[in-house]
Amino acid sequence: MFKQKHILAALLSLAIALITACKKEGDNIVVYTVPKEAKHANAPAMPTPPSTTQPMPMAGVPVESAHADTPSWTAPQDWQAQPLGSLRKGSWKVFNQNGGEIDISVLVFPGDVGGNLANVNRWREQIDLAPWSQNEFNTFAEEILVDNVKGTLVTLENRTDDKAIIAAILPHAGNTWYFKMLGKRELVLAQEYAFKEFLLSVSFPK
Amino acid sequence: MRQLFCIFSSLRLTVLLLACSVLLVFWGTLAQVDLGIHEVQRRFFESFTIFLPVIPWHGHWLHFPFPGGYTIGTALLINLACAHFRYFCPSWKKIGIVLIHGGLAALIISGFLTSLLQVESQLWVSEGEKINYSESSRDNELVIIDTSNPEEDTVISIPLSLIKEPGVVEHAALPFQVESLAFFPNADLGLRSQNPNTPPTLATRGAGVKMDIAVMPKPVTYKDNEPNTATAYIKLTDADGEMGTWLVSNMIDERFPAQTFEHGGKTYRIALRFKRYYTPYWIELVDFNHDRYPGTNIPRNFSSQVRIVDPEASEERPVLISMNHPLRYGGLTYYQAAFANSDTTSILQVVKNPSWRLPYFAVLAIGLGLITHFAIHLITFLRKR
Repeated sequence: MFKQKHILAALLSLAIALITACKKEGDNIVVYTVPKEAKHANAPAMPTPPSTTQPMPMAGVPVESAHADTPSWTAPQDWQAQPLGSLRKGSWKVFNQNGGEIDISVLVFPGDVGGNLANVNRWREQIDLAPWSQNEFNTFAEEILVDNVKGTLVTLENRTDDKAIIAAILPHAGNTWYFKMLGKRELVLAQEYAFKEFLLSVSFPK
Repeated sequence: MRQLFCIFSSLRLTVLLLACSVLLVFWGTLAQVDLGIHEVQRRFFESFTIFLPVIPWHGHWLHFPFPGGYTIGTALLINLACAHFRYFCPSWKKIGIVLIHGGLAALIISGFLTSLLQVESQLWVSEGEKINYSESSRDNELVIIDTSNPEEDTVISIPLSLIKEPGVVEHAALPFQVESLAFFPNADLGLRSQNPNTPPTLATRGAGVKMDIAVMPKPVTYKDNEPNTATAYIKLTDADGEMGTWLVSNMIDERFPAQTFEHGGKTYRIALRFKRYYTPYWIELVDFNHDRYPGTNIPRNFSSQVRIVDPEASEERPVLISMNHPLRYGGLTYYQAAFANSDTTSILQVVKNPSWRLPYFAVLAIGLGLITHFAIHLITFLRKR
């Protein structure tokens, strides 16, 4: 026959042991080695922060400037506005009936962030294309004029993997603005005209 | 002791504890509106005491202590065991009761073990990519990585609990002191040129200076789909003096140039990132499929054709992970959770729960116990007739 006090003591001990002994990975510094990791080929070339605290802009409505040097623009009606992070100044998605989608973003950084060739090559890496040399960049990159600002337009297509990027780089007032459209090749090319119209609607504050 | 034993084995205590459980679940469900499921789980069910708003008082709520999940669970377990030994008469006819009580106790214990041992993380993998780690979507770590070795990196992972308050962190593996100057559990990061009224940066090296990033602290969010941007200013000091102060944040991730520095002939990288859980094997995404009902965008099925590459076990095999068909490998379970990047990136929920089998055994024991107990009673009844 069990003695009651022994049973009670055993149960209390078990309960305390369960709670105290099984601690989750605690507050200790851990040191370990890992193999060198391959670079994320699919990581976006430009930051796309997860924060969604800023208000969503409405498609087709010129954006009110949050800051003095943010340009206004008019996005096509079928572009669905997405929440902005603290670095994205514009963000849209376009969906087609087959479930494909493309991502359109506007970002700004001070200076030239490593130069146009470095940025274009990051985008090329993103869609698994070999980097351009300076000569190739000079040959294939187009010059555009947006609101009297000279910029660069590139169309990058990976026909094998069916991916594409059309992007424009506009230097203005010491900053560089990046307008980028990324997604399945067929969809991106279908939106090329709309994207260029969107670029032409960009107006920097005077 | 006898009196205490009588209290713990009381059936009135059982009713009281079950009533408390109902109230706890009720309040916890209401609190999910403001706190989200994970914070509610932590505060209500993975705690000993919770202060509940019970009485409104001049526009505020008066809070009263209430037993949390751990207290109720522990008390229920002790109550169940004490009651069992108090009222139990050893007999083969009671074998069903033993199984039922054993199963219930195992179920409560499995709840404890799950809350204490389970670790959840996410694995983002794009088509053609191989990944050997998953990342927490809520917990962060400050890492200082020695990248000098061409084959492997040595990672020194410092939990955020050590840098939340300003202070110095030292460790035998660190050839310098790590000092937290400021920590922000959540913040917006922006360019100072566009946020001119923000406080001056403390950073003297790295992205914080090069990009002139301004930090704008904001309240912690508990929304499940909105991660907190943990951010800190970290100063490193060696025997020769200050090496510099870096701005680190889980938003300044691999999309930005790595924040590196040289010390003692070695190259180090400093980062604050979502906590990583490495595995000795790789998961390679061969193909992600997102099936829809014809003519609509309504999802019908998500599935990831992956390949496990495990050099230690000399194993390399294809596996299909789809909804309700997770992969169990290496003590982890990989569930198809979501997707991104135009259906080219698969997001797998990775769950480590060493006690995952226990609830199955518990429910099996309870089921068997009920059947046995019912069968014994039925046979006894039929014999009497």
